[in-house]
Amino acid sequence: MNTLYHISPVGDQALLLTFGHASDMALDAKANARVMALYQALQDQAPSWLIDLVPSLRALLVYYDAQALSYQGLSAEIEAQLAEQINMSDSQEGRQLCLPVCYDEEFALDLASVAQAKGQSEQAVLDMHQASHFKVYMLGFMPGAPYLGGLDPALSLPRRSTPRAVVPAGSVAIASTMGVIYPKQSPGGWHVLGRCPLTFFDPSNQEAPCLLAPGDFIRFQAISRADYDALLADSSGYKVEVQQAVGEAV
Amino acid sequence: MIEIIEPGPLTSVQDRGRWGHQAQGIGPSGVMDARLAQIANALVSAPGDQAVIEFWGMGPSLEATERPVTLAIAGNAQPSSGHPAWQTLTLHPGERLSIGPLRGHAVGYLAFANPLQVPTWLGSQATHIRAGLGGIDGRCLRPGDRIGLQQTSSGALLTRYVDPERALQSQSASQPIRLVAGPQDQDFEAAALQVLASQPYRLTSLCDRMGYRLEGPALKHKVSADIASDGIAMGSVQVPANGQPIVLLAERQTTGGYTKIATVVSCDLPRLVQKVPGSEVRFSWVSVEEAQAAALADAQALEQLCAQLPLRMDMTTASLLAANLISGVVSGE
Repeated sequence: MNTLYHISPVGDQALLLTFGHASDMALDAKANARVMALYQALQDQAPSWLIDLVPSLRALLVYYDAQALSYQGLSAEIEAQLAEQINMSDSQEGRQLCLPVCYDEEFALDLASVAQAKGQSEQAVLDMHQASHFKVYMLGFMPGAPYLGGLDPALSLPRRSTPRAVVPAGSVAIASTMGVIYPKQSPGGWHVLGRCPLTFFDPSNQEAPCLLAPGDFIRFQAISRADYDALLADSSGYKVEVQQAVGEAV
Repeated sequence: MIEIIEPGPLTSVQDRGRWGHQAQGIGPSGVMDARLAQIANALVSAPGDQAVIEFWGMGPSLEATERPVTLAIAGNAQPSSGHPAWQTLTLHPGERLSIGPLRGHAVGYLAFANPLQVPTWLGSQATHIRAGLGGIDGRCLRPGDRIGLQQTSSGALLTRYVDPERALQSQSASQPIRLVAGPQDQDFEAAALQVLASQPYRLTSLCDRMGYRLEGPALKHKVSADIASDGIAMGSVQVPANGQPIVLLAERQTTGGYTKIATVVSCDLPRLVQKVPGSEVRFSWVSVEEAQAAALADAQALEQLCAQLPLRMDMTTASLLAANLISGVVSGE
């Protein structure tokens, strides 16, 4: 795979690699797949100059120790790694996760308005949501909050004209061409379709405070209100990972 | 152990931040002025990255309990308790330190010879106040907070002091803040890059640990201020559609969807951070190579400054006695 890229300094301590152009707001599966490939490669190699990595929709921010490696040195290193990946296929390895969602009326705050806006039945909207192959394009906005690419284009619509002051924790929502999950209660302008009883950010778990990681593949599966309540009370037995799979970039 | 009597408006435990978790949306937070925090630690012969107490505008009042506490204030304060800033101090049990307001700069530090006993979360003791994470329950200090100190050294430290003008870089305070262009400088009209480095900007009152909002001539985008969200570094100069720059700092979000015209050179961040609202700031452009050379030279000079802080012999006891006699602050618990 090959995508045009641009390397820029971000001050004296970081570098930004952008695939395509930053002002191109369209989700770009290939660009994100390239971000994830380099992110995972650098994470695995853990070179001594590496301080932190921030993968995003079409860019990778690399914080580095400039006393160990100059900007020119890092640029050359990044270019060499990209050249090695040039023949990589567009398919990508990643965890395949299944997330339970309760679409009950109490949780599906915007289901009716989404169905109306798209001229679909509510059930058709939920079917499309569950049939979408999502991928975690990045985490941001708040700890553990995923931006999910792969929403069925038939569900694409702008954000709510008036954001909600309170979106409950666990809310599963859509807007534009993306999906999102709110790990914590927060204000938000996305269209809420349901709620997931799992914990997406748990600071007491020092090993893995966030349930999701960049590059994960995700499907949503409908559960009953009774199952939701049971999982909310205790989700320790729930196995979120379906299988290690090679997923197509979506 | 210390007990916080009055914390001040924005006082928190910080270190150099929590790195390695931004991919999951967990920002590093950490000290706003890494230079001054390092100097504060040097005054108590502690490692430069040891956790400190950061305060804004007004410093805390606190009391030593149980054992003597060796500490130092880095900040232009004239404590009402009579203790001097900018040097090693020992507080005896029951003795109170009241730091009071900072004069002419924004942020001060309190460093301790013995490390603060604050939980380490994901490798750091830094508080991320906006996210409510790290430090003490993810929050600013409150009256009545009691913080333990690890008894590592045997006390009896030498008294060191630092010239405040050198610590705060007063002589270069009016020098331009250096910027490296990018990552989205090409999304701006060419005139915007000239304007940013030739016209003065002013700090608004909207300045906090997340970022400093500036006001001045608008920086015009070619087409749009919006981008596909990408990572934000300490010192990134973000420009939303109104053209007014925001310098993003310790408690920035990990990612954001506005164009960033430039990034402040790391060794110039302390001079920017220490400006108070209403101050004028001027910028200049440098290449990334110049920025890295400047940062290296600055780090070496700072190491040297910290390693060679002069001793103030035989003064600890005498100055404390004098201070106590004058202000009469020593009291039983």
